[in-house]
Amino acid sequence: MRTVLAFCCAFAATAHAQSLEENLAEKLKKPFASNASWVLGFAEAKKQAAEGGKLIFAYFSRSYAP
Amino acid sequence: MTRIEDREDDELLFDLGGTEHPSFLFLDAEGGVLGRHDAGDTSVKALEETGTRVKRSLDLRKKADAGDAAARVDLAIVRCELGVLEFSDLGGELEGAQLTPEQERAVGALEADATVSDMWQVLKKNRDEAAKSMIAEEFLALYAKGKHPGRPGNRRFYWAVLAGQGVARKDAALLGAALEGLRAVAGATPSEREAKQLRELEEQLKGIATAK
Repeated sequence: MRTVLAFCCAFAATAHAQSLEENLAEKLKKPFASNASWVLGFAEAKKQAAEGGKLIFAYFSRSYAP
Repeated sequence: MTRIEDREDDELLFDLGGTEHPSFLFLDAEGGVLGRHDAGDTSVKALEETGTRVKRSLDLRKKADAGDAAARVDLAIVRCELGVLEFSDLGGELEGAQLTPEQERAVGALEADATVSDMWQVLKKNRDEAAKSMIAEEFLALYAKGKHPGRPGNRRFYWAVLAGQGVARKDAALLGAALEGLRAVAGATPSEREAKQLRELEEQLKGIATAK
């Protein structure tokens, strides 16, 4: 089955926005994220899926979640 | 819940009916949910199995739309397994259908999953002895009917509770079945915690068997 990989990451509110961005950047460096071509925007994922006749595999994470 | 401000798609998970992190969803190109993967098992094998089930649901959809009654039944079951059809709505989808033994088993597993999911909610709200006792009774009733959950997180909870009941009741058959269930959940490479739990239960099973 051919899929577009969509990565959606949310982080807790208490930290400063800049550190949230840093958390996201750190998470995206981890092997599970960096070893695949994840699409970070839903619109782009849908566009690629429609163009390529693919499904979307969407992964939703937070700073505390794997 | 707050996320990084001004990022797009911040509400997407909730818009798609998800509530937990992590969540893994299979979507069509329009963004419609085709399947939800149980985050209780994030192994590649388990993710591939969900992907295969999604593909099967798409194949069954084509057959059902072409008037295949058996495919319509299988599609309803698979959609329920994929978390896109509530178990409470499954009965309506299956109304009037003659289920095969395999379909009966699948529906039984879905009934068990629905019950175990309800018991998770009970446990989240209340961990007192009355709640634990109610959960044990519910699981023992499922076990007696041979209806065991299929979702990984549910299986672990279900068999752990039954293992506890097996020990408390000194019921070697129940404990043996629960051990098998927990071994299946742990797979070939159990975590340290799982391995410890399995060893302890094996010792308790030996003790119960020896005492009889």
